[in-house]
Amino acid sequence: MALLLSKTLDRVTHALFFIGVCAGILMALMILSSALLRYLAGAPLSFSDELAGLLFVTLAFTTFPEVMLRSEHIKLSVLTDRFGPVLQRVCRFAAAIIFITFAVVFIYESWNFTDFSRQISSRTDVSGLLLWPWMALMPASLGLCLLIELRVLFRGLRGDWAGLMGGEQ
Amino acid sequence: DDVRVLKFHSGLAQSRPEAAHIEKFAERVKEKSGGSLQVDVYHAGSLGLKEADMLRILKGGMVDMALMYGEYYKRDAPALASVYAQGAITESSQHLELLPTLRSIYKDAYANWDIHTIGGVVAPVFDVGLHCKEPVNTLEDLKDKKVRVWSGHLVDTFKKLDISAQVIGQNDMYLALQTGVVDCAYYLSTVAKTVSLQEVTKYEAYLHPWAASPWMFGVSDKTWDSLTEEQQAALAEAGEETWAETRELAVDPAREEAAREERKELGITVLDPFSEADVNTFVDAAMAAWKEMAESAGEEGVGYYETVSALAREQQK
Amino acid sequence: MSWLILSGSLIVLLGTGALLGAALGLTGFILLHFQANGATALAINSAWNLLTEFTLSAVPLFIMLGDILLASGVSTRVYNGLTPLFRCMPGQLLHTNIAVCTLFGAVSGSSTSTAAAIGSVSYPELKKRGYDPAAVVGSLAAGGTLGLLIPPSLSLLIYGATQDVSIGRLFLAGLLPGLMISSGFLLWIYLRSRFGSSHIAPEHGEGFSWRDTGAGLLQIWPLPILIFFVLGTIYMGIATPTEAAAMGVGVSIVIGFLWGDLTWRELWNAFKRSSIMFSCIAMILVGTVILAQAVSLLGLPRGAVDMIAELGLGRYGVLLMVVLVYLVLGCFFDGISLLLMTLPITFPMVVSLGFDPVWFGIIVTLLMEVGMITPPVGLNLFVLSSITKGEVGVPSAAYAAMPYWVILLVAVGLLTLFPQIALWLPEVFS
Ligand code: NA
Ligand code: NA
Repeated sequence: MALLLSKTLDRVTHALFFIGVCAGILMALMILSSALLRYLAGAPLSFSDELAGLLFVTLAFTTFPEVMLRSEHIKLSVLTDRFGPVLQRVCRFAAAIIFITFAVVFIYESWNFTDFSRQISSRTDVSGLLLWPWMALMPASLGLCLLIELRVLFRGLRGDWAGLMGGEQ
Repeated sequence: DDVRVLKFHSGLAQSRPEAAHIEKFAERVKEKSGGSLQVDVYHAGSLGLKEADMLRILKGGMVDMALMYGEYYKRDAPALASVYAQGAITESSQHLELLPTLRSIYKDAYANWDIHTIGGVVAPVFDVGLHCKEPVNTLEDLKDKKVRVWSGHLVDTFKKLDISAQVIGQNDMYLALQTGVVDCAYYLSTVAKTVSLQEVTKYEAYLHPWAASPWMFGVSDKTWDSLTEEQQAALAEAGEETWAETRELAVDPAREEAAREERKELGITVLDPFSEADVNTFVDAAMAAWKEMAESAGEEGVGYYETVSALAREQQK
Repeated sequence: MSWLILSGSLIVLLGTGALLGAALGLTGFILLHFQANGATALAINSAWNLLTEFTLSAVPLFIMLGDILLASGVSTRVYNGLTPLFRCMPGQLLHTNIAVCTLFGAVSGSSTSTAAAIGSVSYPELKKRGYDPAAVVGSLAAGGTLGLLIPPSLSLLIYGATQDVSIGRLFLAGLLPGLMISSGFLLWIYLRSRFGSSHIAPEHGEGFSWRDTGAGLLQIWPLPILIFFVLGTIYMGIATPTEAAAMGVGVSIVIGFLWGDLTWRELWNAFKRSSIMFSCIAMILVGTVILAQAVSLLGLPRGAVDMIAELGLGRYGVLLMVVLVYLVLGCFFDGISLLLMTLPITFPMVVSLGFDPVWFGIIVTLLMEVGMITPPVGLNLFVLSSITKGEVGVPSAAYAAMPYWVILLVAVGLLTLFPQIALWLPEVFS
């Protein structure tokens, strides 16, 4: 059961990352075609800046969990590198708590932000796209990151410190 | 002893004349409250807040006060962008007749966002002109030019006239003109100097007066309810006085004339204004685009449009 | 109190080796919650606004461009072609970092996109060739800041528009100091490589040869095409910097297929790699913007500057204090928001003492540049550390950037002694 959940977490993370890469490609394509259209046809895509912005935010949030999974997010380890193994574990634990606290506050606030936008049906200025589905990426992304960090922590408490310290098992 | 300090957000640069009025308002509040209330004005968005978020921010009480401008809140309150639009007035003085209606619309609308409104700054009615790299003073000449505008409504208006326009922010306007991304800027001629427009466009032609929504002073209900009655009265009175004072200054042909002379001295060639026929064509297109914008904002928007545009047409006659 | 929470929380949170973005963001949350009446919700607004901003979307595009050039072997060929030209100059290809950043600074208004754009191409190539990774990162972090001073410049545009100073004069004024600092950077690389105790560049036995240089330069003919699409289109008014970045992506794919060894699989991998790299940067950006929002909502910069006004110092005393305050603020803060928050006070203060408004615009921009490479919160350092995938940590990047930091400060001093360096060009042209 736990294994199945863990596998699902990995799959969802990879799927989201795939969407993110596509969003990035789409963003590049759209900005490119808008520029070409303005130059060649004299008629830019009026909504392109807006949609590019939304794809941009998608690219960012859909890729956070994957990077979390690979533990490639930037850390400041100048101090902790000099500590002994015990102190390092304590720090790693503290670092997990810091991330979890951050993520919980972020999820809570971004959920409210999204929900409120849904209630008043906020839309983009030019193309009138509904905004809340895009905003929902924020709590969803950090939610996945939170689960991934909790799993690392859980593994660490069961004795798998290698996973906890670096991610390179 | 205990001085209550209120944070006031303003998105306008401190060099704009409106900023001085807000400072004056803050002084009035201090005086009227006997020093118990202090308004700290943060100009040019220096609290780090974005206009589009302002309704949410005030509703949540995250800042005490803000300078409100209905058209900024299109994302969260689309109808507010349809209250007033370019083309509503053809003579500066018509603006003054529309003011009380505008004010009451905004007051009610902001109240729905838990924002209390206390007077504000009546935006001066500035000349709006086409600032171009080449001499242009007819709609016909504009047809093969790319025009920078400041709102979606104006994009639609120019589209109806077969003129290609795009929204470019004030900060990007200078470079867009310099590099030739656009050939003309539709801009407030009176304050064109503050953004160095004379360095990138050498010609200007007057089109029409700027139909500017008034800048209202919004107070978050959370803040308002926490004030004493005396403090509330001080704020309300000071806001009212600033409103009355700026209303007097709003229409000022001498100011426009002086600003025009200054631009001539800076090397701008001021062409003859657009012809009356052109202005009428523009106004018709602007009114039609305004109506469409209101319709897309739903019932509330249409209501605002009908109230204000009926009044405006009466004035234009 | 807010200052205490800010520095205390930053030290504790960063000290544990937590994710940088989370540590910065949590510091912001703490400030917003305890010092700003629980305004934590504002953090989401600022994160959303930042990541939906059209101009910032140039950053992932430039990273894509770099990764595609790398994957197709185009950048390797270009650096191979350039190697003979720089063979005899101590520091060798490190000079290209500064030169390209200067060139790029002449079309990009922002320092982050400059660092991202050049860094993602240059770092892997130079590292592969045996250059010291930290030295490469230091030169890139510093070179990136040139984007802010050499026109067009976002910081000068904002300065001009908010303080009613001629933007044209500001742009002209930024040119000479920008070139001066760029030369200062080149000189430092030369001196460090020539006389430094450790090697930062690989050793070459061969001497300079016209033949090799010519042959090398002939090899890189697609480079001008790429430069035209990225730089030329901006100057000709065909594209904004973001659009130029997208065109660069398109052109690099075409060049990669025709001239390089690009395959569809490699292209997809390049997009994946660049997404991961950008994701690291975005996480930090989110943390930075939350912290910046907290600090600006609390009016901390304004408070610091207000203090100077009360000290009652003389002309140069005030200027010195202004510089010091910007240096301190630069530790916690980056870029444009700092300008917006402080200028309403520093501008009238300095100008009323008889300093030239155009000149002060250049000084302030220089101080913004310094802030970009001042830890603990230095955006250029973060961006480049992400580009190295953490191989060069933020502290070593900061350490490697220190000489450049000093050069920037020396430039502030020189400009104060000889304001004409900035003011000469605008005077000639007006
Ligand atoms: Na630049
Ligand atoms: Na910094």
